[in-house]
Amino acid sequence: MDNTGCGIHAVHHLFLIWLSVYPLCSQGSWMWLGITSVGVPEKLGCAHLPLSHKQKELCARKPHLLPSVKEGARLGITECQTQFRHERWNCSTRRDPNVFGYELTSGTKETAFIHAVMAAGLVHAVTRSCSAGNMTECSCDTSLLGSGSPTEGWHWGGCSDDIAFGTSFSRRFIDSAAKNTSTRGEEALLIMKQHNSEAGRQAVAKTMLTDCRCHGVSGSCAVKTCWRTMAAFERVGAYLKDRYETSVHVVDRSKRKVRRKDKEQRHVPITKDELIFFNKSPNYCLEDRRLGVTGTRGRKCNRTSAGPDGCNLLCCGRGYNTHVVRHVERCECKFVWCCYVRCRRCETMNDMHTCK
Amino acid sequence: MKSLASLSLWRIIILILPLVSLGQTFEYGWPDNYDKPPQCVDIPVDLRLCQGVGYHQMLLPNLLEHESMAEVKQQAGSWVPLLHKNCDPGTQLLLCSLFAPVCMERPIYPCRRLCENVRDGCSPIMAAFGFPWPHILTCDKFPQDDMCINTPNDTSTSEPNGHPPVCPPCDNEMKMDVILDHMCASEFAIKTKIQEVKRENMDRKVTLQKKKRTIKMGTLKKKDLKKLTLYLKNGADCPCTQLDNTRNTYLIMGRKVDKQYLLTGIHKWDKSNREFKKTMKKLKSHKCPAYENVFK
Repeated sequence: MDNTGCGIHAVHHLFLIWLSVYPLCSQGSWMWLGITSVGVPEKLGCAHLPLSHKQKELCARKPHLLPSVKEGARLGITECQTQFRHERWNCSTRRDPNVFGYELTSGTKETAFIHAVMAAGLVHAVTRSCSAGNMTECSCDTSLLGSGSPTEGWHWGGCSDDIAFGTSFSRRFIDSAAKNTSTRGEEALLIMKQHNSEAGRQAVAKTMLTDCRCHGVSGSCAVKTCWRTMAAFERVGAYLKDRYETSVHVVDRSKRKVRRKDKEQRHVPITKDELIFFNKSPNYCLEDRRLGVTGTRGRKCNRTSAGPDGCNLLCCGRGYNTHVVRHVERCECKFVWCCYVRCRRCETMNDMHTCK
Repeated sequence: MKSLASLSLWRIIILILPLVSLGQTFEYGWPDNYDKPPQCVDIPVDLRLCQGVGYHQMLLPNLLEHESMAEVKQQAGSWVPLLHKNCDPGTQLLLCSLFAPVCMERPIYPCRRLCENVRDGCSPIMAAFGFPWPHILTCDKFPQDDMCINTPNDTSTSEPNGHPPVCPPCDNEMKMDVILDHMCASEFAIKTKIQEVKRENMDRKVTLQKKKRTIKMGTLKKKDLKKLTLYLKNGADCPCTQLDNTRNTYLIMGRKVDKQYLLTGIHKWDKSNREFKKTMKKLKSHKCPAYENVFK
């Protein structure tokens, strides 16, 4: 982490007060860009963002990539919160530059998922920016053009997503962040971060799909054009959630090679798309302000569910409170020609359960 | 190079899902994406498929994942000849609800019943021209509740006809728009006389005279032109006054389906008709929509 150049230039008064509580230079992560308000990173400038020294250099050299980095961070955080919205740890963020707090450095499965989904979000956002023509150094993947299967009636065309540039940028931006580590714990965390970030990038590659468009006469498929495209990011998130559920506990003492902690499985290789962790997760039941664990008190739960969102599991056996909530929503909507939608207002009284 | 990167995000969700069981409902809505949302734009005057549909603004991209107006126009153009056939009162409404959807907070799809009525009324005519009912108009994927587009006065009464329907390729107005639309929808067009008409299974086999002049060559080759035989698809018993009159010269249009040449349009070559003369003059400068240039 960059410990030099801590001068603070004039910024908004609120930010000045806030910065005095959380100095940007002493800690923080690029992921903060995903939760900050519109325009703030541009106002602060590269030198004052919570980036590593190398990241600041990259930011200064390629300022046009800052919107993609911000969007990638937002994608990653939003997807993490979507995938974990019913879990005890629900990927909640803090407003300080550390963003995830304990989970960012705990070496747990949650850390693994965070690194993977954030790296994937960066690949996704940068690649989309390439395909949209927003960047000069990258564009569509043209290697497929001209080929296809004329006998089957389709050919490559359109704009195939080229994830090579996004992947490469994600590697440069994330993996070069911290190179100088001294303690063993830091080194293990770095290895874990690099492995899991790469797994996130692989998730984007593995979920790519072929999209085709029929544009023959009268909607026929006599003429068909196909292109390769990234899946919607929620599919990448779901893919990584599966990897999270089956992530691999590794030995944290390895110097060079990552090895499984399970002695009987020690020589089974760890594949590129597996997530790794070296610390067991806490149960996330009770609030731990020091660690930044929010606990599950006050969380909404599902009384009839046996899954992770059920009251028994989510509330960790502490029980739940029940409130009656009145919902007013539109119902029995009807489209009226032409052109508006007419709905009735329906009131329902529902029980809402929250953890004690 | 046009960017199509966001196309997958706009794909209609149920198109990539397994076959839907009856009663299962989907939440139609905009896909989750971080691109700009669909824009509300005026229906252009040259989107002829949707002139007079009943509203004036449409969403772009539309519900068929067409991203640019050029793509919408190009793909909609081949449907205009079907409108001329008047096979169902809801044809334009069904097509335009997808090609030029109404501007609403969330997309409004055509009702399944509207789609089924149009399909039942129009697919026999499309079959006569060698077109199956296309995948993009599969009726099962459209909603059955009230949040969908139906014909404003949905009467299920059918109009009784006293005479059998005319063969679709023979049922044409002598109007420039109609002829030009059919010319574009056809692969080739020639000026010639009819030598012989014979029934063959469900079709009618039309043998042309040796003397021919090519108006539109298309995919036709010179050697094929010499011994060209056209088929009136499913036209064994429907009336076609043009084929009954072998003394006249005709403008004959067709297209190739598998190994057969299908008759897609036949007009009397009537130099004394002012509309016909105007059409032939216009034909020299008329540009059909090109199907290749939207995708590169």
